[in-house]
Amino acid sequence: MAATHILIQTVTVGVGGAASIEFSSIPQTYKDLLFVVSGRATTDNPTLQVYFNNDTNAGNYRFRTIDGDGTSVANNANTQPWLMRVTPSSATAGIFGNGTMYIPDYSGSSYQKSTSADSVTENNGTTGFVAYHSGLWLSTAAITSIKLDPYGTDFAQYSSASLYGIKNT
Amino acid sequence: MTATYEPISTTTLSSATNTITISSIPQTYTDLVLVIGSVRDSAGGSSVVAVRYNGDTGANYSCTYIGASGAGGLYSGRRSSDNGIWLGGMYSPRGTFRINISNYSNTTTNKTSISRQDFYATAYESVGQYIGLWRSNAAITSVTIYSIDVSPQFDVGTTFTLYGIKAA
Repeated sequence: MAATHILIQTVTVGVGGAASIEFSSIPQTYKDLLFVVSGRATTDNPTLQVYFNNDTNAGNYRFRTIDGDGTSVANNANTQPWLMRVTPSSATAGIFGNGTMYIPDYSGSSYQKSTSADSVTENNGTTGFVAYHSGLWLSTAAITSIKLDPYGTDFAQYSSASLYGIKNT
Repeated sequence: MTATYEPISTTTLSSATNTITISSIPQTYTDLVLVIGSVRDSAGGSSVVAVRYNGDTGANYSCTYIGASGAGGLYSGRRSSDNGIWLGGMYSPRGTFRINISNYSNTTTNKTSISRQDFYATAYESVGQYIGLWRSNAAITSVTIYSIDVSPQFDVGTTFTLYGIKAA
């Protein structure tokens, strides 16, 4: 029986950090994409921007998020590629946030691209954060590259991300 | 390496329809995952999507949900005696539902599911999590996905893919 989750690429950030993690030349042979990120920022900003096909025009992205920090729950939306979160630098050293994003029908060219993501961070038993993110890229182009770009900051060393292609045959 | 996540069925709509049924589901997996991709209603408005199992149209389903939307803000609710498990609304432009159905083939427990609804639509953008229950011990052999409203329907291009997950 065929395996359905095929690892396309894993990127691990080296010494000194990295401005972004990018998956390029994504094969168009799968039905859906899934990526998993373990991330920490080098500053206190936890926002993770996700760009497709190097489209950095914020006006082409939308998101709706429900998130909770242990004491309150919030409902947020904006015209931005703020589609996930990572652990900020104020967290205890060695702690990285986790996130996943599912992108169905990424290789089609008829419809705008919808995304479904989860992000969680937990800071050594003192604070935490959980979020569900619904996103939209206002382009019908097939997704050929994905860039993960911490907002106004960099990925810390040992941050990593893996991209999987999901087959339906 | 043993494959643990295998495709069972995939369908892309070439014409709009209100209902789609995936039948003859193999009983050889531990869990099921249903992905409804590029989905919207054919009228460009909004309609609630639900699932039922084994053709059971009785009031044997319930769900509890949380979410956030542009129209409704933060919300949580419950439906106790429905004819199917709500997955949330579908809107335009297209979004996604992902449903995980646990331990679907056993014959000793009621069946539970957890699902995600992800849409960004003008005035209706919504993200939600829905927990579902079918009050039956029967093994799930078919899944029917339907729009609560007869019209609008699932639009052309909507994809339905069912995966089976093996424990080993």
